[in-house]
Order: sequence, then C-alpha cells, then structure tokens
Amino acid sequence: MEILVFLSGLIALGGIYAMLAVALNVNGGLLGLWDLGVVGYFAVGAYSYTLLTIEAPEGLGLPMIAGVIGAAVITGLLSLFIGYTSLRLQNEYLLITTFAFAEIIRIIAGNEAWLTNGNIGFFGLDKPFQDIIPGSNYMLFFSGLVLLTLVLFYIFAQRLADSPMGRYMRAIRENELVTQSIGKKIFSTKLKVFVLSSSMVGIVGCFYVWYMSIIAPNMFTSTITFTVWTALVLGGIGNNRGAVMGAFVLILVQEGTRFIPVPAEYSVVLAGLRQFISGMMLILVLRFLPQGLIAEKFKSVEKLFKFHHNSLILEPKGVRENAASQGAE
Amino acid sequence: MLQVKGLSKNFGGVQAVKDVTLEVNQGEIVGLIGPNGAGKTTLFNMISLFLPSNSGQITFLNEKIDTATPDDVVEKGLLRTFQTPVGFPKLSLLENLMVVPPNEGEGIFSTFLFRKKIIQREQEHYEKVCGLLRQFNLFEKRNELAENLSAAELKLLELCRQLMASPKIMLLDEPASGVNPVMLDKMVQHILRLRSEGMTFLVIDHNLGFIYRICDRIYCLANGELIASGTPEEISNNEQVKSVYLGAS
Repeated sequence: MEILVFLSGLIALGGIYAMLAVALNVNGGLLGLWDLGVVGYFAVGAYSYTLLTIEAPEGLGLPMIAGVIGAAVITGLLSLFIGYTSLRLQNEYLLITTFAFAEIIRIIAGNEAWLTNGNIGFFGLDKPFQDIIPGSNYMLFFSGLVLLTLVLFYIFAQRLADSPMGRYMRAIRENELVTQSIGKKIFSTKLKVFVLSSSMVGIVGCFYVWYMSIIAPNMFTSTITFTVWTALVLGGIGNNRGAVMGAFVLILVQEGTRFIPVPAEYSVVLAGLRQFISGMMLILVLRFLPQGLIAEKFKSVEKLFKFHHNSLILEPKGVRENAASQGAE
Repeated sequence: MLQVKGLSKNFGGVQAVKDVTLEVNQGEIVGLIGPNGAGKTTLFNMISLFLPSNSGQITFLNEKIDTATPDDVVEKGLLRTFQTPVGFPKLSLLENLMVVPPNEGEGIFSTFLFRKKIIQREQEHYEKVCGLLRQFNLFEKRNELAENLSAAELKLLELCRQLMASPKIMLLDEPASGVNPVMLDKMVQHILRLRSEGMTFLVIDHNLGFIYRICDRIYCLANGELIASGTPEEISNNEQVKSVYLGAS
C-alpha cells in the first residue's frame, strides 16, 4: 500500500511537470520563444489560487473552481503585461527578461508580507474533494485528477498544433522575417500565445498547491523553470508527446534515485548526484538524439484534413500538368 | 504604380541610400543593379516598410505608404522576397504556401470554435497551392520539407509564396543568384509569363545578362545614389555604369 501511495505521488508530480512542459511547449516549442519565466507564472497562479480561496482575513474565501479560473485569468493578465513589454526582444534577450520577471515575482512574494504572508507563506491548504476521499487513498485520487487534466491539456495543445494556427506558429519559429513579409501580424500572435501558455501554467499552479498543501516563496525558485525546459528538450521540443514523456522520465529518474541503497554517510552525496544525473541525461540525449527522445513529427496537410488531392481538381490531372509544363517550356 | 521620391537612409554616419527617386509602372519589369553595398537591398527594405526611411516618400497605387506597417503593404499587394531564400525549412512545401493567405483559423479561439469553416478554407487554399505547385513543377515534392530543396527550387518556392498572397507588384531580391543556367531559363519564362498575366516586377540582381533579358527599364545604384537609368541598351552602353562595375579607367 505504501509503495502505491508513493507511486501515485510520483505520478502526480510527474503529471504536474508534464502539464508544465505541455504548456511551455505551446510557446517555447511551437512558437520558439525562449521563455525562462515559467516559474513566475507558476507562482502567480499558485498564489492567486491560494489568496482567492483561503478564508478571510488573508484571502477571499471563494470556492475552489473560482480559484482555478481566477488563477488562470490573473496569470494571463500579468503575462499580458510581461509579454507586451518584452516580446519585441529576440531570443537571448527575451530569455534574460522573462527570467528577471520570474525572479521579481518570487522576491515580491517573499517581501510583501501583507499579501503573501512573506517567507512563511500559508500551510494546511485545502485539497479538492478531501472531505469525501479518505486520507490514505487521497494521493491515488489526486494522481488520477492530475492525469485527467494532463490528458485535457494534451488534447488541447495537440489540436492547436495540428491546426492552421499551429502551422502559423511553426512558421514564425522557422523564419520570423519571411512570416512578416507575407503580411502576418507577428507581435499580436506572439502575445496571444504567450498569454495562453502562461494561463495554462497558472492553472498548473493550483495543482502544485494541492500537491504540496503549502505555499511559500522558496517553492518557486528557477530550478522549476530549468527542470521543465530540461524535460522539454529531453523529450523532444515542439512535440507534445515528447514533452509528457520527457517530464515523466526526468521526474522518475530524479525521484527513483532515492531508492538506491547507500550507507547513510553517502546519502547527501547521492542527493547532489541527482542533479548530475539529469544533466548527464540531457547531454547524452543532445549528443545522440539531438531532436529529443521523440522527434517532432511532420504531418502532411493532406492526411490531417483528409484531402484527396485528385478528387479536388476538376480537370483531369494529366491535362493540367501538361498544360502547365508547356507553359513553362 | 510604385513611386519612390527622394528616399534616404543613413545608419549612423553611413549614408546607405541617398535621395533615390524611381518609378515602376503597371506591367513593367524594372531592374535595379549596382555593385555590392550600393544600397539596393536597403532600398527594398524601405519600400517594403521593413526599415523606416529617414526622408522621402513612397507612393503605391496613388497612396502614400511611408507610415504603413509591413502587413499593410502586403495587404495592398506589395510583396518582397529575400536574398537568401530559406523559407520555412522545417515546413513542407504545402505548409510553406498554405500559411500565406489570410486565414481565420489562425487564432486560438477560432481553432476550437469554427472547425468546419477552417476545413473548408483549408481546402480552398489547398487547391490554390496545388495549382501553383503544378505550374512551377514542384507538385511532386509537395510533402517534402523545404530544407530538402535545391537553391533554385527554393527560389521558385519563394515566387510561389508571393503569388499566394495575390500580389500586384513583386519585389525580387536576387532571384537569379545561385541558379544554374537551365533553371535560370525557366525562371525567366516564369517571370515573363507572370508579366503577360499583368504582374509588375522590381528586380535586383547581379547577373546583368539576366537583367538585360527581362527588364524594360533599369536603374543603377552606386554608393546609395542613382547614377543611371534607362533601357537595357542605354544602361549597357553607359560609361558611368561600366566604370562602377569594372572600376574607373
């Protein structure tokens, strides 16, 4: 039974990271934005949810579902501001700016004690349906809830990637200048996708609060951002299946190393070794599978929309081709 | 159709384009030549609004477009290509072209709300793309990634991409560079065919043979200044153009 609880905890944590990776893949993978602010939106989502749902005087005491929606909206609004100010920047400049914003958010959370209760944070927070489900089985239920949401996230992201919108996003990633030269409004698209991705991260923030049942600024260090990016690169950037797989593999390896039987005096060394192992994994994957464990797959438009190209063209295929080649000769 | 009046641009102390005035009429193929660094591409960038100009005026279809944005001018029908034709390397040829026309499906909400309409629109675009690819003999490669094409094929794809946006004038930046003679012949035929269908061109190239073959009129730039203009014959006999290209004698 204990192993089952532990495993479901592992799945829940892996699922949370997988959701983050899927959300990040929307703007980092498909649109090619180098966004290092993940943990910032994560924190904003988590804090918004907490402050909206806990009882007065600290919070507003709203129902949980309102908290989740509120978390998505507040994160979206904040990322609208962050995106509007920083999305004109390219690559590494965007990376630095978003990273700075994430740090600012964490520092604000640590210092504005009237709002966030400072470095102590809040603890003993409620979880969904905890009255109905007995405590010993709760983790099982929770991991199921995480997986269910992950599936929804995945379907959403996959639909987006397979649509004309996904194609447009990949075009921006491939060549911004050319996309601009065919008359597309790149900045507003980037902003929209950025806000969407951040709101998704904000929703995942609620799950993190439920998982930990506490919230404090030191839960939101940049390690989370790097873990998510590592998961995405490991699994295959631009590919939702890769994002999910990368997250689970990474969490499994990091948590699984707890069970290597070592003498007590080495356990500290082993804890330090965990970072080393995920770093090593990243290097090996980049060396031998540069596109990640599951590479981004090309899907033909014809298959995607079930076109039958011969039936579409009214003239017989041969005639048209001949006419065209005669014109070209 | 397209008038450029007194256009200037300087980058810091470097005067890249100095007081250039030129005109392109409906149905013409106009060449723009000049040695490296003459400011041809800078001029292109200004006309397509990728770069703001320091002074001067650009008029397209009797409308001032100096203050417009790149997407505005595309909507009006002014399209440009780039010197290095890379397109979207990791997108297939079909995708490379289908992404071009304005599409209601390119929104987050519409992706989920108007699926039926999107499929219909996709189908229309798909037919148009297939027709174009057939014209340019690229149809068989429609599902290949653009990165697998040869340089010449990429140039053709570049032409197709512009045509998808239903242009009125096309600004071609070095369409002949890196294209072998056989493909160049095809390129010439394509351009002449499009012109006979009513298209207007402004072409930059270093291949003077190619320019002389297709152009009605030619402008020559050197050090950012317009030094000559006229028919291919006039330009090929112009002493100043010769000295710019071959060095002063």
